[in-house]
Amino acid sequence: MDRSGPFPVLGLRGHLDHESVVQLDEAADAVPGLPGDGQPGFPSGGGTGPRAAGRNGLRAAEGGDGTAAGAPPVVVADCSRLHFCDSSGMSSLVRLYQRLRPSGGVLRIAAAPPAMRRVLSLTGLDGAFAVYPTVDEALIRPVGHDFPENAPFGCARAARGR
Amino acid sequence: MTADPEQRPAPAAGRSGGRTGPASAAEGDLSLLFGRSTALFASLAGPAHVLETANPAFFAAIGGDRERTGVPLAELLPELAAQGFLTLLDRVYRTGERHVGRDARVVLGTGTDAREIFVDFTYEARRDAGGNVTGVRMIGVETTRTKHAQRLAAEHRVLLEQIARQAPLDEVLDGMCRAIEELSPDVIVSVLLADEDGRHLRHGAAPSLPGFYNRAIDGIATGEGVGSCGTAAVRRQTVVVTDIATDPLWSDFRDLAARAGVAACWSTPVTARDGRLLGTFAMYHRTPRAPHDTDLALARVFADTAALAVERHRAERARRAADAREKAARDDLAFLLSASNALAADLDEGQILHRLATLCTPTLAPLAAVDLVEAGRLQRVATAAPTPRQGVLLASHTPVHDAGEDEAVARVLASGVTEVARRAPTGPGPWDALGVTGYVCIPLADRGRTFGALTLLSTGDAVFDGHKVALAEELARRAASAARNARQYTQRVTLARDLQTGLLLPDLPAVPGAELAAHYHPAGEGLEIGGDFYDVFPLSDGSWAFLLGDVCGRGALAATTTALVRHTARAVAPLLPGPVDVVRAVDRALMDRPRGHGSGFVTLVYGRCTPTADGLAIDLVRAGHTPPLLLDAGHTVRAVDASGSLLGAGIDPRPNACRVVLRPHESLLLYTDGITECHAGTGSGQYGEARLARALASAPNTPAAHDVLKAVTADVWSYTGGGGVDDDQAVLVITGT
Repeated sequence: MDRSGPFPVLGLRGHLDHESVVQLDEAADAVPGLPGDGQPGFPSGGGTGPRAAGRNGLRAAEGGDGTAAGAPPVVVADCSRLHFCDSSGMSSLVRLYQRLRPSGGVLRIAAAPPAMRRVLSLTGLDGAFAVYPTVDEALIRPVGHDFPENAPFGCARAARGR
Repeated sequence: MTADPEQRPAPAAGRSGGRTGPASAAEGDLSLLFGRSTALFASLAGPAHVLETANPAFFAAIGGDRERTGVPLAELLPELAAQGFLTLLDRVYRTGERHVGRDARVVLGTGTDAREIFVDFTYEARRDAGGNVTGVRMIGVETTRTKHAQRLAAEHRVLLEQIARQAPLDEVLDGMCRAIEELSPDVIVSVLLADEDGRHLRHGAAPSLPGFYNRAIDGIATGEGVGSCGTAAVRRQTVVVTDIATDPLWSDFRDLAARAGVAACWSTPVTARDGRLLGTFAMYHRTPRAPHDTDLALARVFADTAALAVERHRAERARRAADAREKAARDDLAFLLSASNALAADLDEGQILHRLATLCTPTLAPLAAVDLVEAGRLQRVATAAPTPRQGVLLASHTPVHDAGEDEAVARVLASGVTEVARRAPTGPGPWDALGVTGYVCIPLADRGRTFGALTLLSTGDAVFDGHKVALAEELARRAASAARNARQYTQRVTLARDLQTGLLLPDLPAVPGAELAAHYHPAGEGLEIGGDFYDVFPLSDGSWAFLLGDVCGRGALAATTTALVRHTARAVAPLLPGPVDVVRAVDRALMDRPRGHGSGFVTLVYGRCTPTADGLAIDLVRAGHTPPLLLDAGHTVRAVDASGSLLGAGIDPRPNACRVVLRPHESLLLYTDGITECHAGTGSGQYGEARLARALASAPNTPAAHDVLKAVTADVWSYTGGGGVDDDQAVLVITGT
């Protein structure tokens, strides 16, 4: 996790599957101010999670800041170096999204590989996550401007036919 | 003996008949010169070789208190006559030629005092002024000690080499006896060995004593008065008997000795470094004799050598016993390891117990049987025996569980304690027919509860020692544990299978206006339940509903989620207006799941079919799932797209319904990503949607539902080659009729 920029960035590398999702979950735990999702097995509250580097290649670094309210408004998942993501990987991203939701936070998926973008579209998750072509664009876009209607979070925008 | 030369004449004069005249003054000088020397000097005169003068060393050498001069040599040393020295002297006197002898053996003294010496000597003619021979002069050096020492050293070295080589003890001792007998020709040697408690002496080696003598002596007790050897053994000192006929120590064995032809016996004890008695070393003579210093020295040296040999032999024996014990322990370990591996190999409880019986035979016992308690009754589940006939006999006997005290197996089951006995078991049984002479009955227990017993039966002389029982108990422990684990695993697999069966649709119902075909292949084995699901059920108005979907994950939580989806759909579908409402209801049910019931999301396709005049009308909704494929009458394939997000993730699914109509022989194919994501081998590409579409198009013309299904599943199978199935696969085909 890179906290040097305006928003915490979780860098995903390699394969995200049912063996490596635990690293993503742990890195998510390390996002400061992020509440637990209350599911069994996940600790509540943000805190320093283990520094995982391995198949999933997540890096957590100290530094950076969150919002004054505690949970960050945006978390960026940098997928530029992700080769593969299966349903358990998606499930882990959904869990992260569910933890951001109560405070109105947004999960921005940046630079996802084509196969992953396809799955996001098929499953309709591209209506829940905000999808950006590059990490820079994901970082530049101000808070609250992820979806065209700028609707309060909780209602997905109209599905894009594809 | 080493008198001052100046004083020499006086004693000599006192003893002998005086000396001859001035002609021997020169000799006297020579004698003086040799006075202090260890060399031997003697001066003889005339044809009778009268001893004129000699040095002290000469008199010391001839010994026997014969320090006289003026006497012919033959009179002084009569024993020399037979040895040829007088003849030599005569020749020297006659010819005037010198004679040199090397290592000449001279026996001096007679009878019990006889001894040999070795001498290097010269006989030289004495001449008068005119050159006539007047006598013989003898100068010599005694080499006895040197010679003895050399021979002793040589023999000793041979023996030590033998001992070092670990030649067998009897060979070493035998060789030793013969060597000594060669060194001292009149001696007969015997070695007796003490047994461990030091109370008896046994025959060790005596190559020159008669067999009857050795047999008679073998096993004599150690003790005062038991011949030389028995006495030496207790006194721990050399015992010398110069005349067996008269010595009280030999009173019990006098006749025996006489028959063997031995008349003197000197015995030296052979002791270990720590003082333990190892045996005795005896030197016999055929005539009564007292030992000389050299004899006793010889005895001491060889007694020590014998001690070395015996100690070495005992150490070797102990080492071999220790090696054998170590090997036995290693063999046990190897047996236990290979048996454990054999028991760990199978999964089936019955196979494990059968293997236990066969592993025990024949190593631990010839016959083995395993009994289990099943539903309150004892059953004999495995036997092992050397012949089929014995196997049948053994198997036909079933111990009675509640026989109480009368039956070994029953006792062991009740007590949980091993029972061993050196007789056939009590109670009825084929013991005589099998020749049973002993048994051990070991409980098979799991977490403290005895659920069966292993019985080993011995025949003949073999007994169950503590060691075998321990091995058998260890094997039984391992087998019991493995058997229980196998049983639990089997039970769980059955449970999982039953659960899965309960979750699946047993048969596809007959839907009016449609033909259905389905393929379901969960990826997990044994304990894992799949996460793909499908269902077909009637609605109240005559139409039918179907659904096919995928829960993220596998196992028990996935199973409960699929159940939730299906039962919610079945419950609400007859009550709600259309597919969109049903899907929303399912989403709400998923979001209302209690924590702990899983949080995975669900993708599915849900639809309702109604036969119409135009064909089978299908209103369907796609919630995040891969779009179904439509195979039309023209054999074209297209995807049926409708928007909608996955369910159970907290996202508004916003499902949109879409309608298709299937004319006869047109088909709708629903599938899960286990089909499109399977691969031909690691590293190869995925099957993919394009191939799926092609496989669908390859279905025969006017296909039935099962033709369509087969076209797809056969192509998938040939692509993966039968392997490469990592994910669950489900396919549902609906064909218009």
